[in-house]
Amino acid sequence: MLRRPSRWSDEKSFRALGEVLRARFPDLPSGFTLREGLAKARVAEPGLDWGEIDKELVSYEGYRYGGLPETGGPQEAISLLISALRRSGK
Amino acid sequence: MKQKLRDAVVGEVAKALVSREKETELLLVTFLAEGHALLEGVPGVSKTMLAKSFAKALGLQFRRVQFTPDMLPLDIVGGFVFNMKDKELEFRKGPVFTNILLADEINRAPPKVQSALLESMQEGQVTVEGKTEQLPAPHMVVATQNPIEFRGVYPLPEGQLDRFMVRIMLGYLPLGTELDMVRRNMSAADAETVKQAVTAKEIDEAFKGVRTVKVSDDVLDYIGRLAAETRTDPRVGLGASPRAVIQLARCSRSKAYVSGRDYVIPDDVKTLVPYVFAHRLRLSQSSLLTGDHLDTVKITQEIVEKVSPPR
Repeated sequence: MLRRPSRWSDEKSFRALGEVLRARFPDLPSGFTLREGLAKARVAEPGLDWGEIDKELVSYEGYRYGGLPETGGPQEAISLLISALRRSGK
Repeated sequence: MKQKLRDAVVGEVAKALVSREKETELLLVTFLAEGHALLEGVPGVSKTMLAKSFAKALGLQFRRVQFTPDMLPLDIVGGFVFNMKDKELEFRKGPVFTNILLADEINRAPPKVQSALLESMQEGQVTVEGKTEQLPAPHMVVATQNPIEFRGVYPLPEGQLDRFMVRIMLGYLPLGTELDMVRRNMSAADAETVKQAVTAKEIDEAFKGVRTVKVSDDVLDYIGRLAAETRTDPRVGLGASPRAVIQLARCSRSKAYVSGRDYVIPDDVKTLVPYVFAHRLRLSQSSLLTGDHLDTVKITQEIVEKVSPPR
């Protein structure tokens, strides 16, 4: 059973994702972008719903860099990815 | 619409050129950012063909000038000639008066000829004998040059290099791809097969669209930190100029636009840094003396892996 983080804001979810990516893939350079980190995660966790993860990423980027409103949604796919990366990194 | 324009131009140029999609997109990004491009590579890697095909795909007015050691500035910008009929001096426009100027082998001409392009590239105008003439808009210089190690070349001065928004290095194609090129060449595919892929209205809309692309403060800060890193790196004697910072921001907007977004993400910036910064950097004296096979492209690639982007 995967433990999901509680409902976070978009920013908090993606900040957590950045930290998990760095911990899970120590070879990522300090200048990595979320997209680069996710490209590595895609190879490591092919069974996840990557269509949904990409959608949540694009909507986060719109908020983070485009001044669009925060989705305020639960970021289900990102939460599952964080859990999966934490689990596989142990 | 945004990606359609990119796909149309890249697809059309691909009819004449094999495996140069990335370079074509970079040319388009530079064009829409109102910049100029320097294509560098050994002879025979399709630099001229790329520039010609690109201009044809855009359907804009195009002139080509072959730079030679015996050229004079007036061969580029034009000059005054005496009109026998009217008994007056009249200005005869040079080849720079065009939408896309292909400055072929720019570093075969001496510095005073290369410098004749400075005003046109920066201001979109030409001044001769105190008379200023506006160039047609849009105006883009696509220059090609051979590597500096080659014989009979004059290196472009820093001030001239800084005017080029990007430098695109063209290398040899992988063997399989090169053979595809040979096959295509034997079936007579060349720049003549390229047709106009976009309308003037679509180009105009794209220029307007690029200007509305948002660059957040965090992304601007990222661009600034990347430039600052080039100035403090001990291997670099001359870092990125303020003009380079502005051009990276503009180019990033254009890259975001052709990717179908109306905001810049850090990946846009990161991808473009080696193209926008590397040709403007000069290695420090100590780096040159140690001869560690350093080059500025490698340094910029290391810098983007070191500087944290906003996430």
